[in-house]
Amino acid sequence: MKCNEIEQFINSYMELDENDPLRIEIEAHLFDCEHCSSLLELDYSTISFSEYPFDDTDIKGTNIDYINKHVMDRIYAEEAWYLPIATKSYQFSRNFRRNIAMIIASCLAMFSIALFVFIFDYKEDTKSTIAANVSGVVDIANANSINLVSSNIYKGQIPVASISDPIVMQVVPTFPQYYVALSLLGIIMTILLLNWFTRTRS
Amino acid sequence: MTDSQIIREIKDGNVELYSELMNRYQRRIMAFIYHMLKSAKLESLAEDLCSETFYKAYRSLHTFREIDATFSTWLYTIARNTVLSELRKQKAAYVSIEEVNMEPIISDAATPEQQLLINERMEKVREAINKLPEKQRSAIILREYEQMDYQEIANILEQTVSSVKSLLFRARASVKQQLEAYIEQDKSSDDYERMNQK
Ligand SMILES: [Zn+2]
Repeated sequence: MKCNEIEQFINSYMELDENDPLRIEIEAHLFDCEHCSSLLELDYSTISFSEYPFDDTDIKGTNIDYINKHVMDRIYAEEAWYLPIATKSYQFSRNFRRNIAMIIASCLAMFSIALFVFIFDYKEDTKSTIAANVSGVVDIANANSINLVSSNIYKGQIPVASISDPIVMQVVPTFPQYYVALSLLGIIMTILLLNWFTRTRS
Repeated sequence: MTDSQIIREIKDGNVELYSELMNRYQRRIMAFIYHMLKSAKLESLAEDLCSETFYKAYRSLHTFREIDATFSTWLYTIARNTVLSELRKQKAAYVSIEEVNMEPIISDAATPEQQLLINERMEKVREAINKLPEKQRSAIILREYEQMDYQEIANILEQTVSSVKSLLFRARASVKQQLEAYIEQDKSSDDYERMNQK
């Protein structure tokens, strides 16, 4: 809008609705144009807001750090996995850490026992395999608690070490290897669990 | 680090940087919220609303697009909406003029007379601003005290630039009117004193 256009509305624009686009246009022009606003005797130079600043002393009393901490706590409470790792490892309580240490220790003990059993039991088993090889199907007989007498009977009658038999028998000594596999799996799980613990808050 | 770099880092999961972003804007947002609440005499809520604002901003950080607004403008928008919903909740968006006038002018008797007058005027300007309707008040605080440009204010108030100028025009006219009444009253009391002295 130009100044001469404004002049014809200047005395009546106040009667327009507050949201009337024409009124908004006129007032926007009056805001920018010193010439037109002086016609309304609205001289802004008399009010200098910068001379009358808002009093900031009221705000200085507020604890900015407190607000900051409060907001961050809320964020972390909701999204715990975002917590920086350095802070997290120290969030565990003493009890919690002791329990975790105990669980890990018992896992390790189980692992070493399994390893021990594997190494020594395996040798014994190989011996029994050799023995079994001699008698053929002896182990099946043993499992049915038919002892020496019956095996003696077999010994006498069945020829030693047929070609097909050892394949069946070797299943028995491989059994302790499952312990090793299981405990390795356990260790991997423990590491994953610990990793997960470090990413959560106590 | 610029704001946008920090925001990108936060979106990538580096959440602790949000604290840095807060440090940059907290004082200004706090001041804005404080002055918005003052006319409803709810300034005690400013701290809560300030932390609410920053929390909301964090929650919707993924919707923030730099093409549309700067981060500070966006924060002021959230702050204003937070204040408005609080005021609506408190059903005290506008305090009646009588109530404001009842409030005694805070003055310090120990300061010299000149200082007293300035304080009084300052208080009058603030009072006048507090009496403005919410939109005019927001506009004038953002313009005069936060030194924002018209486009930024328009974004925050969700108005056109012309509307913002119109709001500022009304606000200034209204403040001037109120101050004139005060100055005239001041003058007439001076005249009265002078007459008495004669
Ligand atoms: Zn003009």
